[in-house]
Amino acid sequence: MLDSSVTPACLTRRPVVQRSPFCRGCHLIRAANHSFYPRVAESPLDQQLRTALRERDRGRITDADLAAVEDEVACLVVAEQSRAFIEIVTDGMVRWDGLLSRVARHLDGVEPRDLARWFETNFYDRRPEVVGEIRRAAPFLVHDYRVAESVALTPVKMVLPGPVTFARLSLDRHYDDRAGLARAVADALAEEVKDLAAAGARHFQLDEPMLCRQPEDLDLVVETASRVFEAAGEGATTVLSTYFGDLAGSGDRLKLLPGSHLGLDMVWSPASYDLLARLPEGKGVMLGLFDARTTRAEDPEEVAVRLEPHRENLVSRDVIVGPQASLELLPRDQAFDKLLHARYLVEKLSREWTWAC
Amino acid sequence: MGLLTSTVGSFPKPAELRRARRQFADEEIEAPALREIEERAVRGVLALQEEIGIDLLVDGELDRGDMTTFFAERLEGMEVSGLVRSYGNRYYRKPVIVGEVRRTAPMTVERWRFAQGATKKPVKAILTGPYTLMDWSFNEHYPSREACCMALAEVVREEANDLVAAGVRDLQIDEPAISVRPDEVDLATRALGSVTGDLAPKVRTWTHICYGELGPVMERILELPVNGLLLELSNSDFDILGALAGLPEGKLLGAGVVDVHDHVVESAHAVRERIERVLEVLPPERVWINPDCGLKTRTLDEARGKLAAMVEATRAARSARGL
Repeated sequence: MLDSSVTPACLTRRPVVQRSPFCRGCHLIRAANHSFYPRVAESPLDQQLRTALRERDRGRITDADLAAVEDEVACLVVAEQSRAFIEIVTDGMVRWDGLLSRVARHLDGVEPRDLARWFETNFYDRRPEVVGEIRRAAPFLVHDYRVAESVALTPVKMVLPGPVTFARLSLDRHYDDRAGLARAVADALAEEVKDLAAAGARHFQLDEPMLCRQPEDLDLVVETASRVFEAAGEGATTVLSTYFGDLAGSGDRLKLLPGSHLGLDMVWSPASYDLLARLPEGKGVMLGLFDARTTRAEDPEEVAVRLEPHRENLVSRDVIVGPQASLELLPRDQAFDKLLHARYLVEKLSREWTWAC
Repeated sequence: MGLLTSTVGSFPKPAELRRARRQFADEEIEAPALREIEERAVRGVLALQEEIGIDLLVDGELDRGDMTTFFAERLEGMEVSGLVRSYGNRYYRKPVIVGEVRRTAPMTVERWRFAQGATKKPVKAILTGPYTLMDWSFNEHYPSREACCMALAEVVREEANDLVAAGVRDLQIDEPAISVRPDEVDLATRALGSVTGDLAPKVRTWTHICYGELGPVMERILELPVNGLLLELSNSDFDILGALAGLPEGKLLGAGVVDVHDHVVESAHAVRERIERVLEVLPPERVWINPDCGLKTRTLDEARGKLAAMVEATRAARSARGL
């Protein structure tokens, strides 16, 4: 139950969203948002968070005022994903400046430092600087989950940076040991996941894009992601998401990667398709099939053609489809189209493929 | 003479110009009215740099909203998207490549001529490089990033040639995206080379790179086909300083010694310390002094304060060396 002090105004006007008329309740292929969703668009209503942040920085509104706007925008973003009939939504991560800095701000021993961009997205974040022992002082995402869950018609996935990617992209002035830093981050994230699970969250994602560039980190990813996912509890959906690269360099050791689902970037290179055959039987997959770095809308029919050679492999798995990476990199209209097309693909493959239900 | 000063390009837009740009976008004023206000603002930026004592001036890029969108609005085959976040609470309209990219007319030459005509000091011309134009655009047309990048290299090359023909002697080609995909540094180098290849004897070429993970590609960056590298150093606490010792003979470094994403105006003393760190690695005759990046995100007072501290610190460093 929501604490009345954190109940956003939008709860009193639940969005009008209907399930897709085509939905047959099949849960072996679903569409999901990856992580971020654009929090700003063209209309004045869709600019409210941008305006509120500016006003807060100028001292014209309080942090509490800003938090109310953030809650409102999170609700709107959840509703928009629902309008695309997406089956697993996120809160759009509308309170996050980037994948790393929000976590960095909530961990003792870490400070967000210089601006940096790491991937081909022209998107910056503040690099975490590790200056002391990492500890999580208090839960920092439970409120976000509760707000999103209160308006969502489908499960809400909570997304966190993977400990190894966090360690790879941080400036470590304390541990002087990447593995030690990654383990400390994993312990802090596990605490957060445990609290989220206690609040009712059942879908979790760890983003480990750096594994595509650093396959030698695989053992450390296995160890640290396992720690975090264990905290989610029995039966939770746990996605280890990789993107902006492929995992071909990890070879057959892919099967060691933890989580109920492995997230693969199918846009980046054809190599990701070949990897499907290397996955253990029964392992779920989250296929990033829609390019989050271009406004061009892929034809779901063409995407289906690319999947066809892998039909036999996929129909025996739990399959999630969606964008390859954060949709924050696109304008809002195009982000919505990507989700809509992902859902169209689900409808098509639900009808045309025989799933091992 | 070593330790000359310059800036990376953009300056904060005065309130009058911001208002005029909004009015122009809303079709409340015509292009000549906007132009008049822009030119007044450019004179102001030039006067500010002269007053502070900057050696190589810029026009402040006051006619540019964003360093890629500006070109997208002037090239055939490019459009502009809805708002996309770049960082924090900052958004821009990202270019979309929808067809064959072509330059139908010079895009920056007339503005550079105006700025150079308004000052006796040299004015640097600034273009966005082909790799960054490609990487920071949505590509809906070209079959590959390489094809896209090389097509953009051709239009940047044409623009660079026109600038040099107009009299430009310092040409900066910004490539901040160059570090985001280490596997594409070859492509970025080839594209930049196709722009600068014919220019070298006539003009001093620079490239500016910032806010990237430069470590893994640093050796390649040092070899880029330009005469000088303008690098952000302060924001990242000089973490690439050691590698700069490998800067090939004859190449210049433009060292970023003030942080343009910090509201705090550094003291001249703090800036001097940064300059001295750079001079431990390279001799003064190979070092230029700059801010980390463009100043457009600062207020005018902050920009003035940071540049004044930079020039004061540079003069002290020069004086200590009898330069």
